Amino acid sequence: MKDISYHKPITLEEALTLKRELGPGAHYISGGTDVMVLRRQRKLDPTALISLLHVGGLAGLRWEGEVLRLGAATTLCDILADRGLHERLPALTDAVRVMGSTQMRNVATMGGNVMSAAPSGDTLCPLLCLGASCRLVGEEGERLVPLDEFFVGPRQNAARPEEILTELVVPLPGPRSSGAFIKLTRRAALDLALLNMAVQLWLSPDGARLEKARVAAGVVAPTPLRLCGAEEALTGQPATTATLERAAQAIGGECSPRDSHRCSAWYREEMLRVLLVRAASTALARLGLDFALSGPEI
Amino acid sequence: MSELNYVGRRLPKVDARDKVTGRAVYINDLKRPGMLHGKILYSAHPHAIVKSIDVSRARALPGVRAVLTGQDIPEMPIGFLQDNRPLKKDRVRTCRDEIAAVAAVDQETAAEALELIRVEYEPLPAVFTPEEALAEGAPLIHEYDAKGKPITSNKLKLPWKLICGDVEEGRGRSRHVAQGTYRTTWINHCCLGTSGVIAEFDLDRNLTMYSITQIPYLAQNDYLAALKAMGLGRSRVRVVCQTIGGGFGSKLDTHCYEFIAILLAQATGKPVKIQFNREEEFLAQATRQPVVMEVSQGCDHNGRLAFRDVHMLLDNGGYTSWGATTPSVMMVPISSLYRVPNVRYVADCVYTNNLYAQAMRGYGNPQATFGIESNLDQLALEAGIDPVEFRLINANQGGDVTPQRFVVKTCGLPECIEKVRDGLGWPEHRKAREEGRNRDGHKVRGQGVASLIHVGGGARVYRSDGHGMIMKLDDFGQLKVFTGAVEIGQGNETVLRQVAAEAVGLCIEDVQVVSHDTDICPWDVGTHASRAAFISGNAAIQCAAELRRKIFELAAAQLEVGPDDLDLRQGMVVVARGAEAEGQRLAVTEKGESIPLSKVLRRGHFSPQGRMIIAETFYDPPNEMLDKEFKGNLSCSWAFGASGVEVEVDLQTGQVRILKYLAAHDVGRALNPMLLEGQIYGGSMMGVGMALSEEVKLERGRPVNGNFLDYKLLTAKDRVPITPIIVETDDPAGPYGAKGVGEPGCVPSAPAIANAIFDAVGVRISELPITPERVLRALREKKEDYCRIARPAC
Ligand SMILES: Cc1cc2nc3c(=O)[nH]c(=O)nc-3n(C[C@H](O)[C@H](O)[C@H](O)COP(=O)(O)OP(=O)(O)OC[C@H]3O[C@@H](n4cnc5c(N)ncnc54)[C@H](O)[C@@H]3O)c2cc1C
Repeated sequence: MKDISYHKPITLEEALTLKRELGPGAHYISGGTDVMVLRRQRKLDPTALISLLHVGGLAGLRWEGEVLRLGAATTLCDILADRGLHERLPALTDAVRVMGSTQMRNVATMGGNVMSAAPSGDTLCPLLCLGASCRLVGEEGERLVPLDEFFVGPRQNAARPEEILTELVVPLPGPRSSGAFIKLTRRAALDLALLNMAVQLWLSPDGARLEKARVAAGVVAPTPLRLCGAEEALTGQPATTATLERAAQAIGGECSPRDSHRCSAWYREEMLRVLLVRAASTALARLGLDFALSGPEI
Repeated sequence: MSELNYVGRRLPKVDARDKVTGRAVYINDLKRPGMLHGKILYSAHPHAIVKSIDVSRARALPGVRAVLTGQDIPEMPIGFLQDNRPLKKDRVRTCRDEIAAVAAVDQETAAEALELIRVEYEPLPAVFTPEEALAEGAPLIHEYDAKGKPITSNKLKLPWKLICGDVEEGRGRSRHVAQGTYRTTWINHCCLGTSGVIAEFDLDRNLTMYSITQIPYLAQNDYLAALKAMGLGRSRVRVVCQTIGGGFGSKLDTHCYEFIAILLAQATGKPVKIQFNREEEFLAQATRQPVVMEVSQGCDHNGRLAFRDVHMLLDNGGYTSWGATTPSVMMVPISSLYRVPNVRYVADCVYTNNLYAQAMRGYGNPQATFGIESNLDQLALEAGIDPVEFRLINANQGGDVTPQRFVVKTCGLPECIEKVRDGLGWPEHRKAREEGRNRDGHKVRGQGVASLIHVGGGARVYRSDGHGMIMKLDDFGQLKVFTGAVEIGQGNETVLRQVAAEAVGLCIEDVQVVSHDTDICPWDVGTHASRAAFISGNAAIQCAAELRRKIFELAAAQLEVGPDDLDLRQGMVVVARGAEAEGQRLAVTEKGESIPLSKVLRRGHFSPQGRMIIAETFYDPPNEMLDKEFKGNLSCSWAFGASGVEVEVDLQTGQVRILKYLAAHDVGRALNPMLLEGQIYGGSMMGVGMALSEEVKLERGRPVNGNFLDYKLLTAKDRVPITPIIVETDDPAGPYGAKGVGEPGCVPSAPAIANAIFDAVGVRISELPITPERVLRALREKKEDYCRIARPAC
């Protein structure tokens, strides 16, 4: 059997040096819940694994004024343990709560989910709606890339091979905003989304209109996708069911759901509209408006 | 019968602690000295001529000890119709066909060697449904039968045909008739422990199989036949079962991989282990039979069933296992679920280039019951009779002899239906539905019921349905019970311990079960047909009587009383029944008229020409083999039950959520209510999976979802709120009145759920699994207002 060397750097510099020295066969690994599965499926054939879990400063949440800085090595269970997070960014915690299983959430990281860039990655739509960016550190220094520009194909992102994701920078949406996330699956746990959707809505100061709206969906295109037609149909409109339904009808050409053995395209297409209305209703209900929640609250 | 000490008690499983602490030794854990690892190369095509196989590079790989192909092995036909062989030779018929096998020093080397094998195929046209396979000009999947006679059709020569009464007469006098076509699909057993075996020869060429079979003694027979074919006709076979990580019928046949392990062990002179990974388990392990069934039933103006007519097509896949005999058990509900005088059942098993099908929990009963019970609801609707009322009108009763000549001594079916009705709040729901109160926004609630009948006292599918048992007492009053039954996680050893302690009169701590070894334990036909607790329980009672006779004979001499005056209670020999009144002298009076059994045993042992106490028995239940017309009392006890389900259907997504699930079972008597509930929970979950989510999806005969991400086995988080309801009828044939209950849990789930969905939204889903897509599509196809249709006049 081929041996894989395993490395545990404790600084970013050390990690980057290792990556350079070990060459293209070396892969970063955080929780390993993606890496190890891909390896077993022979879609990844690493000669070396560089763990990022021991690099200082990569884990944990930091609230800094108007932004939340979410360390790449923050585990999914850390996300759920933070009650403040659910109050302020419910779309994100909605997503994390239905990911994998308890065992998987104990080890899987936020950074790993983002870097995997799977079309079904559950945290990606909420992060897109929140306008998050990722901070990457590489040979040529550090840069901040908006997530809107980050996902370039199925399991492909805009990072260079040696770049390390250190944190996600999430602007806080403020008190007049709320969000929601819904994942369509065949069972309650250990399932990947047939479709997932996040919505973030901002109310006008008088609470009558939607000042701003962000909508994103996964598994409808090679990458998670902002649904601009729906966003436009929501923006500036009164917060009514009729508005939500119009927005659902405005979901359009950007989506190209596919037939697969998991689900057929027509079903995904129909569900997009259903999920939009439900996710938006939940977001509005969370803002205290008279709308139905689509799932149980924690 | 006096008060019981152990029967009826909620005792945890004897192996529970070992299993949760990781001490239990599964086949995955087992290593033998010098052991090699075997791996199998499967076919790249569903149907092809194998033109050539080049194994030279694999043989040359360091660490490889043997490479075998179909050319290297003797003719050794296997399977129910002997239409299979461990390694295929000139032709492959499914994607799971074994082409070559490697034994190497470790799994990785074996896997690497497989990649070095070059196979040249010439693909043949292939068929993937029974209908295609029966079409004119379809390619023949097998050209010759086991005797070398040419085969002219893909239809198996297994004439399943049951006629009771006159179906046409029944149809003629029916006021209402319902008919429909129902489909079920490929389902994997999903045993948490994957298939595995170690084959090991000793220097005298005797074979030991470290196995996880459900049928050690029948397997022993199959292995002996294989050894004979290999020129080892004088070799012995010992089967030693490990802790078995789930059976569910998947281990009622001997499979190709087991014979491959034997062949590799012979070729290398080393123990060889083959252990499937999950992908192999989905590819190479045979599944439940998919069926297409046409069902029609009719009733008179009073709602009494007049006839039932069922025609079934079963996808056998490429080879024939014992599973091809599932129609014999499908007949059970078809002929005898409810009172129906006229029955016709014709089933054809058809070869295709799919995987192959085998036994699985319920042995065809869940498929057949899905058709019958879905159709029965349609008939109730036609007749304008409430579905629960309709079932009660037609329910079996104790004392019935059914058209297939089943003798129903006890029957709790009416009580099961009533309890499910009451538990569901059926009348309240009907009222709510009438008033449109079962709808909340886009969610609509509905209720459905379905019943079951299953063999409850073994089943004579082989010539013997017997079970051998030995009971041996040692000097300390400890009892060892040697049984041929295997524990597959269902709890048989716990229940057997309870029954043996009860029947002999010992403390349960002093009873141990010894099993899982054909060299040590007497013969048993196997753990199948929900029979283990029933048959081994009866064997224990029979054996205990013999043991007690011997104990009392020994004690009587020591105590100078008559053997009839003695009793054994909780390990104490007690003088009972007014011995004193008869004026006999009692040696034990000053000791309170009782003496520890251990003392009696030691005195018996350590005396001139001493003796020890051992008893043996062979219990074969009074079951009948079905005759040429497939009639006869297949089982000496019949189990009944009913499931009631409340679902909530989402009109926008087609998703179905189960809000209530009541499972009432006539179990004769609950020997251990805790384990019994475990069987009901597990069976119900399996049934719900079959109903809603489980399916091995095949594309050109190859599984495309052969992993636990894509094969939707439900998880604990799916929280189906199952409520077991135990109905006791005290069957005279059963041990302390008990009936078998291993399989029934999964039988009525799918039709109960389908009926509840119909009740909610008025669409009849007649193909499993009932996916959200299927529900939504059906809702779309239905033009009328769901709510109005969901309220049929009744
Ligand atoms: C049982 C199971 C269930 C799952 N369920 C879900 C689910 O419901 N929803 C979902 O979205 N996903 C799911 N996944 C996929 C996976 O677990 C998640 O994507 C998870 O968040 C990955 O995190 P990780 O830390 O384990 O990543 P890893 O496997 O360690 O890494 C994933 C990828 O990111 C790279 N990487 C990791 N960290 C960094 C970093 N800091 N900088 C640069 N590159 C990095 C790695 O090189 C690799 O390419 C599941 C996986 C399993 C095994």
